[in-house]
Amino acid sequence: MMLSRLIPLGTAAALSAFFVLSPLAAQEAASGAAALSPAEALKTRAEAMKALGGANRALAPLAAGQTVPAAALQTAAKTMSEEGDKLAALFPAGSSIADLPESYALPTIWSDPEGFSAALEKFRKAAHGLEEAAGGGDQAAINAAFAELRPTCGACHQTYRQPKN
Amino acid sequence: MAGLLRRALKGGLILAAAVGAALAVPAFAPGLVWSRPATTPPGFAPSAERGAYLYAAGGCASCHATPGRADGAPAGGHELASPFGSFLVPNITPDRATGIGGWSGEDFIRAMTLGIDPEGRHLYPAFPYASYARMTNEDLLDLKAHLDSLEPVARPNQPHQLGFPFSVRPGLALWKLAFFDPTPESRLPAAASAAARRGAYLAEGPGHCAECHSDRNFAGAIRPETWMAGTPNGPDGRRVPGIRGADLGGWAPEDLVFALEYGMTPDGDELARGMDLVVRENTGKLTPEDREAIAAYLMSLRGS
Repeated sequence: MMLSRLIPLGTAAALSAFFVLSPLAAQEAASGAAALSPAEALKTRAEAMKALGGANRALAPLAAGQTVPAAALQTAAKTMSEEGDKLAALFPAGSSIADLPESYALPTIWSDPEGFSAALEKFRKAAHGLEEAAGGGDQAAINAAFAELRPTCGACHQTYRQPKN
Repeated sequence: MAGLLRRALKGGLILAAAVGAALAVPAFAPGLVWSRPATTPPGFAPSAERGAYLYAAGGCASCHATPGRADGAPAGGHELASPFGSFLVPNITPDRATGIGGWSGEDFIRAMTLGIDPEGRHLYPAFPYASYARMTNEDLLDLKAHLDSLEPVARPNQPHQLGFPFSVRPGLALWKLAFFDPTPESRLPAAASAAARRGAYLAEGPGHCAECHSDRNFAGAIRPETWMAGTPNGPDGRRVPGIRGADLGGWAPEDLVFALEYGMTPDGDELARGMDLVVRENTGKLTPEDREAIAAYLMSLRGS
């Protein structure tokens, strides 16, 4: 009785250990979204973009050399870096504007994967830079970090997104 | 039969000569057709400080700043591509040889409101004098005082690179006769608030919003029915959105104020390329009251 119950448990443990330890699974865990279908990826990235937009809006005064209250600044900077970390995994093949009507993602993303990755990485790094600066509390560094971050949004959108505005 | 033809030909020639003579006046002596008194109220003294604000309100630096110059001096050289060719923006620093240092106040008003330079030549409407025609003489002289206060930069102007027949400057007389209104009326609704009235002045005049946010006809003139209503084919061949209240579905006036200050939509998305520059050089430098005024005006614009 005891044993028969333990065997499936053990198998499950062994299996999970195998997957966790296999390099592929490690990669998938890192990207966090390997199993997402194109439609799911689209939905998730639309949510991520919405969160990023909200954070950008909250941070906007920094662009004009103004300040943002510390709590709002921390939250927005954290959103930028956390959501930014997710993005790379949210553009599976089959989720472009040519595949899904609600998508704004241009096929250029998949025809120029290096360019796209580089543009995303630039944003991701800048987002972490802002989070760090926000933690440090030096106003000039915070404004400079946002000045670094902000153009990385548009840089990616201008090349890889169907114009919206 | 032959006599009839000859007579018709002769009649045609006389007509052509008459049309030519009639056109020669606006083409070569534009001052006889287009004029505007450079008068100001008694006691008016131009102020470079007020002019600096108008320099921002007019977005002058967006076109006149020299590419690659860190100091932002409006010494020209920026290339404006158009279906007619490339316009190379001139030097408006007070350098006497290459800029506008030798211009009188009257010269400046004539160029800004009638598109005629001190030598009496027509200026291409890529320079938005059709919008600046709405500015008051006081504002224009303040603006000139600001330009006069800048550091002169010697940078010779480059000739525009235009295809024939657009390269023939006197031909602009025809364009002006057909499309240019030197005393344009505001699109402001009759019942507008004082704020919307101020906004109309800023947006229609110095801000020259309609120059990009309207569609143009075959001759490059704004199609009046598309005023501020956007165009599929704006500068750089890109779509430019409409900015009338009717076009900004779901935006509140404060969303527009926010966009004009920071260059973002209410969802925190960046405004399109080109508008980022406008926010940086123009609307972002205005007082909050003036941004609110522009928003009040644009929100009051309905469909044509």
